[in-house]
Amino acid sequence: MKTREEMIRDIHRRIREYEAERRKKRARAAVITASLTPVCGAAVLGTVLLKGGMLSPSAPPVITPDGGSQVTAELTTEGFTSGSTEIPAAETLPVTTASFSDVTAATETENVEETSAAAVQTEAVPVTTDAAEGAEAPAETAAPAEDNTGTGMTVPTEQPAGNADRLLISSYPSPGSESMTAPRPGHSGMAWHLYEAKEEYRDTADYHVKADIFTESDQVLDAGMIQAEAERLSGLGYDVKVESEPVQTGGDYYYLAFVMTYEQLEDFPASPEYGYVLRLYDY
Amino acid sequence: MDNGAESYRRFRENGDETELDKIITDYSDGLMLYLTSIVGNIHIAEELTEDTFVLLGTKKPKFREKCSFRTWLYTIGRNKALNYLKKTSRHPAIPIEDTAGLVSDEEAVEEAYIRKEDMITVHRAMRRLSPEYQQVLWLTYFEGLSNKEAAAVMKKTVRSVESLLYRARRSLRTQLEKEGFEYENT
Repeated sequence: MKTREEMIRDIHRRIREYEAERRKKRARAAVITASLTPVCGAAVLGTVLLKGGMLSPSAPPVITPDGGSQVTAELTTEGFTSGSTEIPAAETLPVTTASFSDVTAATETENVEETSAAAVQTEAVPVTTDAAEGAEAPAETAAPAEDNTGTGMTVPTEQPAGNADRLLISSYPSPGSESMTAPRPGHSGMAWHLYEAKEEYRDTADYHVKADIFTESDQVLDAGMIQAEAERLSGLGYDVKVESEPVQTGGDYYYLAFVMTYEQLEDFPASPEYGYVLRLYDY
Repeated sequence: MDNGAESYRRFRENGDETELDKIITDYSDGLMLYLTSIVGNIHIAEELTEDTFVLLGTKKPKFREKCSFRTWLYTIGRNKALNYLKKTSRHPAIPIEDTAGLVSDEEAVEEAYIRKEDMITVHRAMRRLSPEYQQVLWLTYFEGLSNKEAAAVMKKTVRSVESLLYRARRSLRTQLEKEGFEYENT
């Protein structure tokens, strides 16, 4: 039998868990919506291009012979003429569609842009349509590991220890707020960009993560305590080390730096003494 | 003691968790003992009591003040208990010989909640009765609910609660006589 205090504590814990789960579901729904929007946009764009005759074999080429540094696209449809638009390569959006499978293969060495009136007005976002080369889709998304123009994802030149063959995510573009409340001891919280990256790449990638740790009242800044925590996590199989950065007011700011798998992120073993804020290394 | 409605309103509207704590403090023991009369096991009743308060804290159902807060709360708890019984397909009553390990815990809660010695004797005798008799006696004698309120909790008509109460009283009396309980008046 529980005492009344234990019952009250358990009830509050269960209420908090329920609310956290509900927030997670909402965030998941938002991520799905956000990821479907560009796909739908691409589908609409494809339809417009198809109807406009741009995708027919007789259509004028959309890739210039100079490797795609500049693209000239001219749309002529019955009710709509966009005219000619020139866009610098760095500002445009890599798009792969079923009809451009030959173009897709060239993305590692060439910047390939497909422009239209709609694309010019759209903010650059990573788009990979479902039809594009079937099962190769994730690889295409992950491919520009050394080419930061596409997905907005960056990978450090010197990668920390980890599986060299796997994609290592260290940053992710996200409009979400980065400020968050320090979790209570025994809990961990992810920054929005890390959550989104994790949901997108799941177990196809590893994650380069920084973590600040907190007690009930304050952030833990003591190097010894952070080192002890790193050793505990290392003992649990985490690739973790203590890193520091100088701060303007003097001294150093210490934090934990990880290379984590998706599963390790999902099942992060928070110590009952600390709360953890996890975020991508180069957020 | 029925300040639950006001506390619940403050919890629901302002998110004041201390108000929920007050509700738990005031109602958990009574609810637990009432649910014990349905499921026949105080540990399961404890879980169901907790589930009932978690439901208040998460779904925050609206209390429309058509009955007292206690009646409303006990109705939620009863629904939880009936769902539990439906899921587990267990008979609500368990043989008395199987309850030896449960009795001490129940006694502890009982003694904390029911402070009068003779009432404790009555409550213990009640445990020998059928679940329906236990429920109706618990609601009317120990929780002080009117027949109408008890009918609302048990989802019965007032008339059938009156009839049930009459039969329950007779059974309880027989049980108490077996145990040597003496009446001051009948």
